[in-house]
Amino acid sequence: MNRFAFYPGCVSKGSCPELYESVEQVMDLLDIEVEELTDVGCSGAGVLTTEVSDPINARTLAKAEQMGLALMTICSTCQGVIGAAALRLQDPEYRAFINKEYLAAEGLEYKGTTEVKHFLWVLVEDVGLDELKALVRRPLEGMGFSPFYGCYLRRPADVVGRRERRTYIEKITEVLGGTVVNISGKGKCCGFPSLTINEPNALAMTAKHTGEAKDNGADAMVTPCPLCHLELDGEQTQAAAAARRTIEMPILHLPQMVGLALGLDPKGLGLGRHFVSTAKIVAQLEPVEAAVSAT
Amino acid sequence: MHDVLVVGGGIAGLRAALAASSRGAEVAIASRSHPTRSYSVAIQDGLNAALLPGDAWEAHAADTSAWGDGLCVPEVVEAVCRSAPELVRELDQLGVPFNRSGGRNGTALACLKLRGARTARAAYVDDMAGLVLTQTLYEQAVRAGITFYEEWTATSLAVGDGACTGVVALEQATGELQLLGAKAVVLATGGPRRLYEPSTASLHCTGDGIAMAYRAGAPLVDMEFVQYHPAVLKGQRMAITEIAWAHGAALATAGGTGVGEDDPGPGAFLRAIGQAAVANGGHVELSGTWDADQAKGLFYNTSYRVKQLTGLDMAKEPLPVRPAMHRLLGGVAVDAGGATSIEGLYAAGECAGTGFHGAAGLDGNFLLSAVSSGRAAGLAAADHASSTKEPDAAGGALDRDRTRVAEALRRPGGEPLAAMRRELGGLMHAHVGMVREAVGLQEAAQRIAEMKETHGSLGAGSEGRDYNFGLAHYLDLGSLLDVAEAVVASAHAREESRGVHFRSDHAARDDARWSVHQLVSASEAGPVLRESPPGA
Amino acid sequence: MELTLNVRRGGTRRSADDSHQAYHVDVEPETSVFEALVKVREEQDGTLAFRGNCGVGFCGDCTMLVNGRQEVVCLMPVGKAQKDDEIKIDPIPYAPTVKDVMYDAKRFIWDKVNSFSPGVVFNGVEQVTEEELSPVRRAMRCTMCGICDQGCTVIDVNLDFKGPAALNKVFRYVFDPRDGRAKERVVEAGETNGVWDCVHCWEASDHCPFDIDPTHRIMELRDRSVRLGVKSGTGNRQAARHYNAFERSVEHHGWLDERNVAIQSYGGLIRGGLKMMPTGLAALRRGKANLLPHRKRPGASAIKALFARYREVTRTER
Ligand SMILES: Cc1cc2nc3c(=O)[nH]c(=O)nc-3n(C[C@H](O)[C@H](O)[C@H](O)COP(=O)(O)OP(=O)(O)OC[C@H]3O[C@@H](n4cnc5c(N)ncnc54)[C@H](O)[C@@H]3O)c2cc1C
Ligand code: SF4
Repeated sequence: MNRFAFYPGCVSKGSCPELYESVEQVMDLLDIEVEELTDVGCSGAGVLTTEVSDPINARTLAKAEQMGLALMTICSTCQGVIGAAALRLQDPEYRAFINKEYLAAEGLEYKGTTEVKHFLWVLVEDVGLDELKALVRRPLEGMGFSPFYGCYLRRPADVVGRRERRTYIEKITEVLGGTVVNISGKGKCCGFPSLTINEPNALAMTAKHTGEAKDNGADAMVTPCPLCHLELDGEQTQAAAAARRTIEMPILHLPQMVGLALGLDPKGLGLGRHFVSTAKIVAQLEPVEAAVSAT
Repeated sequence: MHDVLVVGGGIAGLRAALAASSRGAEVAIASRSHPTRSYSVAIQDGLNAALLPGDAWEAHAADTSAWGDGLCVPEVVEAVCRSAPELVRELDQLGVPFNRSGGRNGTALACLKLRGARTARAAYVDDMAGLVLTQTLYEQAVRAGITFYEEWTATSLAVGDGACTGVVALEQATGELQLLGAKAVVLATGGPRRLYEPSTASLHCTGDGIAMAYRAGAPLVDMEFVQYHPAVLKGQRMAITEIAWAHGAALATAGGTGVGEDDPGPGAFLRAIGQAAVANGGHVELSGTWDADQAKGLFYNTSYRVKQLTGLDMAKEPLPVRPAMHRLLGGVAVDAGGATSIEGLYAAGECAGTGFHGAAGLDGNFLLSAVSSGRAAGLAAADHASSTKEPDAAGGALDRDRTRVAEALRRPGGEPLAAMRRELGGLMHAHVGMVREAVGLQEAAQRIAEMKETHGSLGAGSEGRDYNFGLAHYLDLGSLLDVAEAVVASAHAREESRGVHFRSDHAARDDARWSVHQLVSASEAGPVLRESPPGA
Repeated sequence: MELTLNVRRGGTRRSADDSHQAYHVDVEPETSVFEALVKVREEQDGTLAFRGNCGVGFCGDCTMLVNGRQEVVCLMPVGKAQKDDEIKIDPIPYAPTVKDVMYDAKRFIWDKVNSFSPGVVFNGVEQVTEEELSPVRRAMRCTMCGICDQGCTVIDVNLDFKGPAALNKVFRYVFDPRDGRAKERVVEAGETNGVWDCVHCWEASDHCPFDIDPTHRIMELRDRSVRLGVKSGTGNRQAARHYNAFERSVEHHGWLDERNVAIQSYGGLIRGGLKMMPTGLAALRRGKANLLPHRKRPGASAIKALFARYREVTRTER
């Protein structure tokens, strides 16, 4: 049994409810137990100045610390921003400053011990690829997935930690029976941070990555980041139009792909809620082995 | 037509341009590369100035003169050392973030004690003073609205009626030659390191400005004084920063025997290392007492590059080093204001012979000299320009160079030129290096004369005009051979040993006969030498 | 070692099947790719065009693609670069090419760097500390090699984006306590294609060979900009609208209401609402999101208090 303090982030409770729902179902099957933090704030997403986001994130980290649990995120951006704050807060002087100026008023103190882990890392490092493999009920055979990480799960190196973490989606895809369709842009920016600031830039990025996945023959892209999902899925039609081509590349949340392989119902995983239709993927799915679905 | 045209965009050239501009002159810089790609960027150490309490410019001047072995020009030494603290503060206010002492909250300029200085006296910027000074001066030059001719190679001075009226320059992108006219010209084209192998040379260290002035009839001075750097990575051109010495670096042979420890004068120190290196299979080992954190903090820029180039970790392993040619101390003869013998022509930085260094240059004085001579020449050039009518642009030089280049484009080049440059490098190192004697010098003179002949029959190797590097190689070698001729003639004539000039056949210093500078001028019959007392 | 250098030849026009010329050289494994190319140019082919001068990693002029990776080639030994005794050399792809492997540095780097007011304007502050200057010094390690720009995901789609090298230069001025124009500079840097168009993908930091961490420098520049009350340039209100909407959402609700932020970033309910309409309707139809704004979270009041405290702390320090 793996236990975590759970930080779902804003988007999984807002525009991407299917992420929240799918991760809950998958965590059940994988025996991951979580306690959701409900009274914490938005990480700042790299938009807000660290002068205010560091106190907010220190508060989140302190709450997880009180529970004696590592913090699990399901968004690359939350992971990267809180992870970077945690790293800065390793500096005792800075931590003392934040504690004194910000957390003390609430009677909180952050001691600097909370580990921050994305669900993707939990899958490989805590659940384990063997365990995951053993639970597969519906191998994703014959289906090609292009990984798309979201910047913050690739960089900066000191926040991401172990180098292997840059290849986890590929490993998981293989364990689930799927085929990895590599794209050169898998670690690049989806465009979301620029969407409301410089839209042409954002759309060009989206078209580039989804177009590359299509050109390389992927059936879907899979991402551990709901912001990438909002962009690659929600903006894909506009992006394709701007790039004067058709793309129609389904974008899956990581737990959706895992859920499909574990035999969960596509509808329940929210595959019907995407902008770009996932019907072709769903049609390719084998029926879940009868013996297993009976249990 | 510009008021002031500066040829060369290194530290000396940029400082000259800013100075001229501050006097209200309209200024342009023509340089072979983008200014921030000049070799000045590679300087790791700092520049000397009596900044700390207890130090005084007189002490700085005394150390400079002692090192210079009786041949420094006293007025120049006084002027430079006196103004050095102000020059550093000026740079600081232009935006150079010199290191401060006294911990995180310290505000006083920090200084390092370099070899030959009696006290800590070199202001520094981590181990990248050159990069930061060049970038900062470039920022200010753009701010001052200076015109840039980037990737233009000057090929000749335009001289009419005894006055310099501009330069002929080759635009590399098109291969076209143009006359860049100016009321005053400042040469700041750097040194001729590529004459020697091994050396710390960059590709553009071909002594072009020295050669152009020499060909135009301006005398060169102190050309026999060629200084080696004690510790250049074996097989590479990277010098290990003097900052390492300030933090306890030491040299040893493989057996652990210390080298050059008794701190003799510069010439003897370098020769001792050179001899030890030869005896020790080509190199000695440089090591220090710093740990990994210190190495990263004190000389991040050096240790990172050493690691890339050699795979060695300065914090843990000794580095194989050997001396390599670093610096010509002479150059185009100038007065304290940077004026050459040709009206309207000035020189600064490494291509100028100011007499500041004498027979051996003190670490930290070179960069200082680039800054101070640049400023002086820029100011003098601006003053000259403001009192000069627009000269008639002399077209003779342009026509001559157009013909010269057109012919060169049709002649073969490539390997024969490359072979000649390799041979020249070896020849200079063997016979005109740290140890010299008459026979070798005569042999070198002979060979260089022959090479000049052969060079005349070679060319670019291809006719293309845009970015024709074969043409550049041909022109470069022409400059190098002219400079080589002057160096060899001067070294041959000086029958004594002084500073970094060591004659094994005249091992003693001879003040009665040789307390003089030698001026060398070009003639049909070869170099002509003249002597002048120090200070004249 | 016997080495084959396959070097891209040709003019400004790039294509997928650019022709490469094979040159054979005999060099030591420790020889840098730069020195090997210089040897080729001197001995075999004077028409081969590439830049580079110092040979020791300071002039920043010799950036090329070596077997598909961008490198400062004078710091790359051939022994390390080769695969089966071959090295493929191409010009960096994001920049326009001039000739062979020479790229247009003016367009790619210098025009951008010099589009920001250059040069420290001394403000009379003489007492500056090591603590204040050391970040400036770190930024000034920059050799303008352009490798960060070559890795930049924004430049990849928009050559006009100023890029990390130029923005790092702005950092150097804004964080220099001796410069008196910080506020004007962050306004300049906040125009379109400037600091707010950075998507903080951290590629620049990953790419910079000299550990300057340019993405961090850009983010610090943004933080400083906010501190100075500047959230975008005068011609780029969009960035400020986005920042303010985001801040309001988190400050008052504790978390982010993406749709509301988007609507406000696009210029308020009417313009933004219209712009968002197609996506919004599609989302509704798919049951992807409900129409109501997010509810406040339980911790909202605590977050609001942190904001209040932040305003106090930064005011007293300002
Ligand atoms: C590796 C190294 C370490 C050093 N360390 C120190 C030190 O620690 N302390 C110290 O005091 N000094 C040091 N020096 C020496 C000193 O700093 C230099 O002498 C000084 O920087 C020279 O500056 P410059 O402007 O004269 O030459 P450069 O920087 O070489 O500039 C020459 C300029 O001229 C241009 N140019 C050349 N030929 C032409 C042409 N034909 N037409 C147009 N333009 C041309 C080039 O493009 C360049 O812009 C060091 C030098 C080097 C190379
Ligand atoms: S920031 Fe780093 S990568 Fe970018 S130009 Fe400067 S040195 Fe090169």
